[in-house]
Amino acid sequence: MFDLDLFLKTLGIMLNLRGILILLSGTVIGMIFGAIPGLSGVTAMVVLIPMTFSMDPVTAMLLLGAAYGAATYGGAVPAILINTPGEPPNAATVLDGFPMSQQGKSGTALGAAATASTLGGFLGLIVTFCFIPVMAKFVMAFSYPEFFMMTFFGLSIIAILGEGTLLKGLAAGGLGILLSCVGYDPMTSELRYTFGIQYLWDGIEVVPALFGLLAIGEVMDLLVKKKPIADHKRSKAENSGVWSGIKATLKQPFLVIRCSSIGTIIGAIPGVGGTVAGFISYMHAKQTCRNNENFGNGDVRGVIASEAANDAKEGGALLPTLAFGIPGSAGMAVFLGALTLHGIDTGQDIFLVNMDVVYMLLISLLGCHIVAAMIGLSLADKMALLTKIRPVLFAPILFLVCLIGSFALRNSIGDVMVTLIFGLLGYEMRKFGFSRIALILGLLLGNMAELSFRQTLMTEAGVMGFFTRPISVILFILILLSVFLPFFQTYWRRRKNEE
Amino acid sequence: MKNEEKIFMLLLLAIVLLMALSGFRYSGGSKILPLVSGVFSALLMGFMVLMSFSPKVTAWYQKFEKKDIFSAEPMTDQEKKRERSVVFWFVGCTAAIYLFGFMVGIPLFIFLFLKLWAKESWTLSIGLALAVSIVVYVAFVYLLRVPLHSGLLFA
Repeated sequence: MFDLDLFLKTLGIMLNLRGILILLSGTVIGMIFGAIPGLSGVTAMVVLIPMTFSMDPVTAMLLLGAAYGAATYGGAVPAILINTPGEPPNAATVLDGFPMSQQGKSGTALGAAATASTLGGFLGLIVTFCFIPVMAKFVMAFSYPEFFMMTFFGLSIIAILGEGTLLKGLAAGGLGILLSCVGYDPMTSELRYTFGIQYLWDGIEVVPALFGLLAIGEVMDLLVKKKPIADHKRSKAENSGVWSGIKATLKQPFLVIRCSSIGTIIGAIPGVGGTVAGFISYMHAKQTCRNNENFGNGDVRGVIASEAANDAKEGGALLPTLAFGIPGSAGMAVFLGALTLHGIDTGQDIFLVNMDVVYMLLISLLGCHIVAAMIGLSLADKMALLTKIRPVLFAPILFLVCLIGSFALRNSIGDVMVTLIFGLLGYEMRKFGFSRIALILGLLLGNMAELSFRQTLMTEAGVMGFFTRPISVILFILILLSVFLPFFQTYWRRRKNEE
Repeated sequence: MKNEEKIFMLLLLAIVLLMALSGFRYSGGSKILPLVSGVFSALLMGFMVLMSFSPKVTAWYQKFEKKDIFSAEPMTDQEKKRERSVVFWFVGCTAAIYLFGFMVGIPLFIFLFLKLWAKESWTLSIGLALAVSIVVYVAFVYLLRVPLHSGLLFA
C-alpha cells in the first residue's frame, strides 16, 4: 500500500521554497495561537481555512497540519512560564512545569517540553504511518451497515467522553443529527425543515456552523470574562537551561516511548482528547519512575511525560478521522471540514484516490514539530510576551475573521448568519456544559448515517443486515456498552459504597 | 440551578419537539431519521427539563452519573451585563455587514467596539480598525480574489 514515489513527490512539495515558507508560517501561527490561553490550534485552523481556498488540497493540508501540530507545543510555553496552559492538553504540563519556573529552571522545562513534543509527535506519526495500510484494508471491509454503526459508535464515544455530562452529550449529538436533516433528502430529494427559506435547501453548511460553535463561542467567553490572560509578574524564561532540558529528555528514551504510545492510543479513540492523554501519561510516569517524590514539585520527567503524550495523540487521532471520517477531537473535526471543503472524501476514497493528501498531513505534522522545536528553543522567552495581549484586542478581529471565512466559502451572506447563530448557540452550550463537538459530529455524520441506514434497508437482508455481519454486530455491542456501561458502573460503585 | 439554564433547555426542547413533530409530514424513508433523532433528543431534553424542575429526579439520576448535570459556573452581574452587550455588538456587527458590506462593516465595528465597549484610546481604535481593514482587503480581495459582500444598501 505504501507508495514511495507518491510519498517522495509529496515530500518534494514541502521541501521547495514555497512549501518551506508555508510550513514556517503555519508553524509560527500555530505556536502563537497555542501560546495564547483561550485560543488553540483549532482557532488557528479556523482562521487559516479561508487562506487555503486558492490552494490545492495538498498545500492546504501542509498549512493546516503545521498550524495544528505546532499549537500543542505553543501551549506548553505559558503552561511552564505563567501556570496557564495555552491549550487544555497542556494542563498536565503545569503540574511540574510551573514549579520548575519558580525554581528558576524554566529554560530546562521549555527545552524538555520542546524535545519531548518533537519526539512524541514523531513516534505518534510513525505509528500512524505503519497502521495506515492496515487501516486502509480494514476500511475496505466496511459496507453500509458498518458505516452506520461506526457513525453511532463515534457519536456515543464523543458524547460520553466529551465536555459535559453523558445526557447532555447524547442530546447534543441527537440535535446535530436532526439539524443534518435540514435540506434535500439525499435519496428522494424531498425538502425537509426548510421553512420556506431557499438558503436551507442545501442544508446547513458544516464549516460555517463549525466556525460559530467552536471559535465564536470561545471569543464570546473571552470577552465576557474580560480577565487579563495571565499574571506575568512572576515569570521569566531563562534560556540558559534549555540544553539541560534537551539532555534530560534524551536520557529518558523509554519514558518518551511509553508516554508517546499512551498518547497515540488515546488519540485514536474518538472523543478522549489530549487532556486525558496528558494526565494519564503523567500518572503513568509518576507511578513507574524511580525517585518519584519530586513529581508535582518540579520534576522534569512530569513535563516530558505530559508533552510526549500531547503531541503523540495527533497521529492517533488521524486514524479514525481519515479511515472513517469520524473526527476524534475538535481539531480533527476542523480538518475533516477542510478536507470536505477541498473536495476530499475520507474513508476508502482518501486511501485510493488522495493518498498524497494523507502523506502531506503526516509530513506537515512531522515537519512542524521540528520547526516548532527550533523556534521554541530559541525564542522561548519572547513567546511568553504573546500572552500579554488583552483579549479585547484580538477577540473582535477573530470574530470578523470567522464571518469573512464563512462568507468566502460560497460567497453567501446566509453562511455568515449561520456562523453567528451557531456562535451564539456554541457560547450557550459551552456555558451550560453541552458538548459542542457532539453536535458537530451529528451534523457532519447525519447524512452518512441516514444514507447507510436506508441503503442497508434496501438490501436483501433489510434490517437484519445490521445484525448478520460480524463487524456491524461488534460495533452494535460496543455502542450499547459505551452508552449503558458508564451508568451501570456508577450505579454499582455507589451501591458498593453504600453497603 | 439558574433560570437561564432552564430557559435554554426549554428552548432546545421546543426546537427539537417542533422538528420531531414536523418529521411526521415527510414521506416514507424521508421521515425515519428526523423522527428517530427528534424523538430521541426530545426525550433526553425532556428528561433534563424535568430534572431542572425536580430535585428528586436529579437525585435519582445521579445514582447513575457522577458528574453534576447542572454545573454552569455562576456569573457576576458585571459578566452578565458584558454578555448581553457582546451579543448585541456581535448581532449589530453582522447586521452592519449585511447592510453596508464587509469593507464598511469591519472598520466601523472594530472602531466602535474598541472605542465604546473596550474604552480604548482613539489612536488604537482607529489604528486597529484601519490595519484590519487593509489586511482583509489585501488578503481576500486583492490576493484571494474573493468578492466580499458589498452590502444590501450599496449593491
